[in-house]
Amino acid sequence: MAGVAREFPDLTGEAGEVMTDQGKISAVALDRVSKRYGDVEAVCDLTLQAEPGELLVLLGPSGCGKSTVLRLIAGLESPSEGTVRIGTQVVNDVDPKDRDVAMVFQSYALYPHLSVRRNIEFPLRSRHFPSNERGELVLRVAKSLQIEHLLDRKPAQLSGGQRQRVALARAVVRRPAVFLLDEPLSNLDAQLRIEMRAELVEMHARLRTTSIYVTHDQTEAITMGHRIAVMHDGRLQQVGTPRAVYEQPANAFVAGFVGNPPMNILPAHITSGTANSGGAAGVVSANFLGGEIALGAEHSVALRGFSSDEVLAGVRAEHLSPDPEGTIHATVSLVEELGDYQQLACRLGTGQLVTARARSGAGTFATGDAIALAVVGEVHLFDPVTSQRIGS
Amino acid sequence: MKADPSVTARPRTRRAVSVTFRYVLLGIMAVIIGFPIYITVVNSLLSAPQIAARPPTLFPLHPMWGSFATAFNQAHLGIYLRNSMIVTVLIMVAELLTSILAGYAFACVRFPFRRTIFMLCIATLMVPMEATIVPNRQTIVELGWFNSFPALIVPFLASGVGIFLFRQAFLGVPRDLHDAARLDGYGHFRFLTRIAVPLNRPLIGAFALYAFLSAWNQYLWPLIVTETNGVRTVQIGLRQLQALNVDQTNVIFAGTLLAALPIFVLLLIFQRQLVRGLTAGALKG
Amino acid sequence: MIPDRNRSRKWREALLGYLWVLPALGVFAVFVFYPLGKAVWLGLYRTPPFPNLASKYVGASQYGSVLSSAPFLHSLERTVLFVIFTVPAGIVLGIALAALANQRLAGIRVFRTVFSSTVATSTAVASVIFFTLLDPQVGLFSYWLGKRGGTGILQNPTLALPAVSVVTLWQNIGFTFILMSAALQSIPDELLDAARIDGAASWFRFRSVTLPLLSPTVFFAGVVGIIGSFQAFGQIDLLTQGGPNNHTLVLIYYIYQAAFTNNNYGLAAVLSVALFLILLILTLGQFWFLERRVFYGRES
Ligand SMILES: Nc1ncnc2c1ncn2[C@@H]1O[C@H](COP(=O)(O)OP(=O)(O)O)[C@@H](O)[C@H]1O
Ligand SMILES: [Mg+2]
Repeated sequence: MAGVAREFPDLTGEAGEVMTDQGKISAVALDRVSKRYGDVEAVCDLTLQAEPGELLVLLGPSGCGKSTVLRLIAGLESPSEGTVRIGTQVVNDVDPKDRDVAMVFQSYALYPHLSVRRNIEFPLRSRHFPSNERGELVLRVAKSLQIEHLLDRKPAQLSGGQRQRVALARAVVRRPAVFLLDEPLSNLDAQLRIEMRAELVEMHARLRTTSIYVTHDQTEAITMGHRIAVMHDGRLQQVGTPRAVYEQPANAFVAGFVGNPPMNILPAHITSGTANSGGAAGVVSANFLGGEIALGAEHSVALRGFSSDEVLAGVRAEHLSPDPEGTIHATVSLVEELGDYQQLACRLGTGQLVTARARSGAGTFATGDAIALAVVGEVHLFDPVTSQRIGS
Repeated sequence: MKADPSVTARPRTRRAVSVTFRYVLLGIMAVIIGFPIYITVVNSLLSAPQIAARPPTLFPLHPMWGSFATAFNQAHLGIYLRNSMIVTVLIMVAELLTSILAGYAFACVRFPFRRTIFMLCIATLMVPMEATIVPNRQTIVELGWFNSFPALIVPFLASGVGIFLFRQAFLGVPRDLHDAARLDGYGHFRFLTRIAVPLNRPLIGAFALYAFLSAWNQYLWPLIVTETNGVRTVQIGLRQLQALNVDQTNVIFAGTLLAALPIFVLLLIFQRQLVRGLTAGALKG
Repeated sequence: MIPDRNRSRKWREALLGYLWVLPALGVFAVFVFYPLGKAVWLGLYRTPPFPNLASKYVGASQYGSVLSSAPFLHSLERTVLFVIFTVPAGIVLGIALAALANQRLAGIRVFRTVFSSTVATSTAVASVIFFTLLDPQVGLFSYWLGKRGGTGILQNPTLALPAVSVVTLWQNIGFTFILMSAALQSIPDELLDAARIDGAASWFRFRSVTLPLLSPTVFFAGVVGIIGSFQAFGQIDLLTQGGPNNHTLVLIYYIYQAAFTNNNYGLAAVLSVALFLILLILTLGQFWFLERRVFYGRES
């Protein structure tokens, strides 16, 4: 699974910079970076790298410190501790304008008094590009984003989607070495958001600029990122390819945050198969969701080092299905028709809700039906104290 | 891959230099702007000969508080302040009442010629009081109000600014609230007092501050319709105070402080309404 | 039956409306519209040179003669000079102070308080303080400016109007500072952040982003300042009384002198109408301009 979507230029040694025909592409590295605002620790001991040419997505709930990370990279804030590196240079004390980064803000931050043309031109003007070159660059980028007919309007006369494009144009026009996007699609309606997602990915494929993309929307993260870095409360939870994060969440938070619907995570009690519980080694069984289930042999090894029988177990909806033989008894409380399958919200005897899926072949269900569920795929185990994943 | 320390060190010192430079600028401006008030406080605590002595005393080592009592009693500041307070509070309350009532009527009550009458009220904004002092003073004399409180108060019982602001505010009260209140049997008066006014408390605060400040700081009108201490407002009182002898400069300074004190306290209390209150006259605000 | 009930309810509502606008309307009628008309009318009568003679109807001729007379033009010139001395400098200073105080520095609140402190003063308070400090005998400023004894600054024909302007500037600076600070703080941080990343050095950022975004406020401060300066009376009355040698005889003070020192009501009325028209044009200009240009930020 490693190395998905790694078609961007190879790193040679520790250069951190690659020259392409498009210009310079730099790596971004944060090394043990913390940022405090008074008592608030917005970012805590963060170590993270974006490889040259990569599209790295920073994912996390609102308030977890994502914007702060971008602002640290852009130089709008300076870290309380740690170093920020762009390319080969430590940039802690480098002014934002000398970092060769561009940023797209959530609110677009278009200058309301300037026309679209002047907005896009702004970074060129402030860098004293000659005027003929400016005009050509603006026109080219405006064409590529299909906004050349809007060049003489003011931002107030644009729709949300058009403003978004202007903000992008302003960011890419001077070919920065690093591209920072702070929830750029969150102010758009659902339809437009899906369109722009595709466009952004295409644009990245064309430009190959190292990009760090912030979002709180896990679908966006999974569909767009080469790699995803999940943050929570200012701390990095996990970095990896979308698939790795989805299939092997590093802790209960990531498991619950990535994926739709969220993974069902509930306490479970190991009944046999470990040193504590006795029984045959190699076969682990647990009391989970009010029923007795067998866990895969791979858990036996992992649990050997684990001192308690109480764990958190997680199972994704697609791995929990109605099965007449199932040991978990529940009542269907809500049915969602999703074409190939039905998604069922089921109330357990304990009162808890879990989400399960029924393939269209497996019969149809209606609210109020009493059913039995069985685990048909992987069960993830987490330490109830640290919430870290147990095993691989 | 450690960065060359000299590369990172330079911006640090540059930042320190620029911070120092900013403090120096801030300090110079603060001294220039703050000095007149500072020296007023200092001089109010000195004796008149000390004030006249050179080199000047810039810090009162032995403050004397007597000048405040002299200003308050002998120089009549007490009476002037009382008069100003009476006049200002009455104007403020009356302006609030008339503006809220008229603003509400223009926004929410239907009656013939509503628009025309509203335009008339707005037109008053174009007529500065300074342009009508001559006939207005004659009116006051004819009414027998010369040198009396009504002369200071009655011309200011209504405010075009207030009517405009409150009409805007009441137009902004959602239609649904009106309808809901109607279903509950609320008439206009109860809707105004129980819903429209409470909803607009911030504006009322800001406008009250604006009305208070404008009334308190009036100078020209009180000057031409009063002639005795019994009705003079504090601004005109300062004119009397200024005429005091050079051997009473400390009393002059103390008097100006007493005159400024109520507004100072008021602004401290109403800091949140300050900007809106100060700019209430800006009809686009 | 029902139409009748409806009609009576309509009348009751209308009655209530009239009742509620009546107090304001009454005050306006007596103290705004009537005196305005009366001022125009008074201007048609020439006040006799001696009291107790009847005023003489002279028609519009008095308007013509007064408005082309040297004293009127002199007072207008003084007023315009006063505006020029006070308004632009006040705005520039206000913006500079606001920009200076709009930084994250330790103790910045103290500076903000000092800069806004003059809002607590009135024209009269400011004037009396400066009058005493400029006193040629005991005034500290006179001493520092090397003017001890002899003619004081306020008694000096060339310096009097600038001195009155400085006092006015000082008294207004608190207001302008607060106004400009509020405007600065309402500029979204993201815009300035964007400009920083876009490579703008701090002066370029200020000139090309901050200043244009301040322009509605600058315009507002300009109009309010000009209108305020045309109405400035207290500082003249307390500091110079139009002197020395009429060098600070601005229009409003000319009206005051004509009416209440010389009892020349006809002259005062003509001057009042002129003042009214000037301010009317300024105010209408303000509305026109605000409608047209300045509010680019709003969607419409
Ligand atoms: N300038 C600031 N001053 C104080 N606290 C801040 C500041 N900026 C951000 N924070 C705090 O830091 C935390 C992270 O904020 P942010 O990076 O904006 O989160 P996100 O972008 O993930 O929603 C929040 O708790 C926020 O309140
Ligand atoms: Mg954010």
